[in-house]
Amino acid sequence: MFRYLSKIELKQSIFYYLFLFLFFFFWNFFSLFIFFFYLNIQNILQSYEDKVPINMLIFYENNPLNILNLSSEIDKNIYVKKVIIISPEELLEKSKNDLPPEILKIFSKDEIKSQFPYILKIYPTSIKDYPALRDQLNLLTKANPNIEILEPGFFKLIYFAYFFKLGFLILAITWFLFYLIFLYFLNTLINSYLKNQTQIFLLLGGTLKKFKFLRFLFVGLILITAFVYSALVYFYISDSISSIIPLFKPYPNFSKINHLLYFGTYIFLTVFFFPWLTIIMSYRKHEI
Amino acid sequence: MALITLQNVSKIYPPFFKALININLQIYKGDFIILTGPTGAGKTTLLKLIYKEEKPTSGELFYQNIPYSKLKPKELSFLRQNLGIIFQDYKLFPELTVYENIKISLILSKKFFKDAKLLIYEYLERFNISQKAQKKVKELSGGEQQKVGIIRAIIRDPEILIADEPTGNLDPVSINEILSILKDFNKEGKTIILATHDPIILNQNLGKIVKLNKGELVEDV
Ligand SMILES: Nc1ncnc2c1ncn2[C@@H]1O[C@H](COP(=O)(O)OP(=O)(O)OP(=O)(O)O)[C@@H](O)[C@H]1O
Ligand SMILES: [Mg+2]
Repeated sequence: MFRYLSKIELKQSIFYYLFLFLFFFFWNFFSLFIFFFYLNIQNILQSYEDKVPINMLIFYENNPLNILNLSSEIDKNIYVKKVIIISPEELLEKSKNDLPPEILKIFSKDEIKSQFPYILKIYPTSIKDYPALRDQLNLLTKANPNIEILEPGFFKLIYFAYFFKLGFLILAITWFLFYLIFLYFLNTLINSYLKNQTQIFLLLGGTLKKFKFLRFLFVGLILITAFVYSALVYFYISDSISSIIPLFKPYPNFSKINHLLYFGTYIFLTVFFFPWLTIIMSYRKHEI
Repeated sequence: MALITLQNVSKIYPPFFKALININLQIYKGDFIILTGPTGAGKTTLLKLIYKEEKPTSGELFYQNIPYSKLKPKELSFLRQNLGIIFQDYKLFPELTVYENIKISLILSKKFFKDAKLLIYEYLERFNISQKAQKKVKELSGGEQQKVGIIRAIIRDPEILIADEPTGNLDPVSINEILSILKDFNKEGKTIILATHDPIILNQNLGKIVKLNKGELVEDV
């Protein structure tokens, strides 16, 4: 029976299956790259998140208690993750080797130290909080001329990357919806081509179960083949990218369990679950 | 208990074409019903309701007291497996061969057994198309297709045979062949519902004549 039904199914819809193959080859290829860039940007952001504080320089302050108060005050701000205090002593200690030896000869240690500020390294809770935090801290500098704010120079780039990341997320969701709609559309199209014949089959006492199963089988086979091909191309290209640009890592990393888990879920959704769902949905109105 | 009952059945094709109006009809086991009436009277529509290709707009059909609307998909396919339907428009699988078309019917009615191949050829021989057995249906003439449609329905030896204009495209020899098969069927106690306006058949006094006109039951002789 399956032999005859396959004949019926394939005779009319072979072109749609070829089209499905091409579509999924490219779709999957770009999806994998969306993930690749998304995860890499996330990765780069994360490595910066804990490393780029806003530096607050406080000059001519001799009372460490005031600094402590200020620090704990800032720490209460919701945008602040942590504050690290660097005293002039530590600063001097750190920069000793960089200072020209003449200076160390002319001025006493205490004199130099008095010119050095306290530094509060203020780490924001998240990259996206930078602007708000910076604005609030700027208010302080207005009130006190001895306070100065230093932003990391490449901050704008990181901030941009943050939104880039958000954009990618939206792109990924749209991309998935596009796939779902495409699958539904394709199945509906094949169904309408085969409508007369499925109806004959039903009138002779058959059920749609076999048709659904066959469709799932064919679509699944096509998707698996297209997946393997486009995944191979993806791995080849993404490996090259990450070997040229050391900032980029290849994804998924097969030695990490959670990467495998996510990759498996992706395959399950795109190759099995979505096709199954759309096939069932597309056959809804064909029962007579 | 009637095998099939139509109770106040009306069928309106959208938007408002009344194809059948308030039909009451009981079909008993062993009946030979001849449905007749002019073109467009609603014969095919009535048959479609019986094998549930269409649903009634109002009223209800019963299969041995089970309302059609309550039939589960599985029960419905079981009901259809016990029907042999000769469609007015043949409804064959055009890409499959004559042999395959008939074989599918046997498989679906769970009557495909070891010697079925012989049986299929016997019937093809009887209707004089055995040389076309391996041809695709879409390559056959209208009359040949009609023959395949007939064989597909009767070969499964159904409890109820529904035949919609089975003789429309056939030569007199084949018509007689069919009529003799139908008579034999009926003698075995099988139920037959035949829609036709072929005077040759109507004059033979085969069974109970039910006449439709513009969707209404006019005569129930
Ligand atoms: N799917 C449909 N949609 C709209 N109208 C339909 C549909 N099927 C049939 N009709 C209309 O219903 C009426 C009855 O059609 P039906 O096919 O039942 O007639 P019939 O008695 O079988 O005629 P014939 O002897 O020519 O086979 C016709 O006027 C036809 O135009
Ligand atoms: Mg008709």
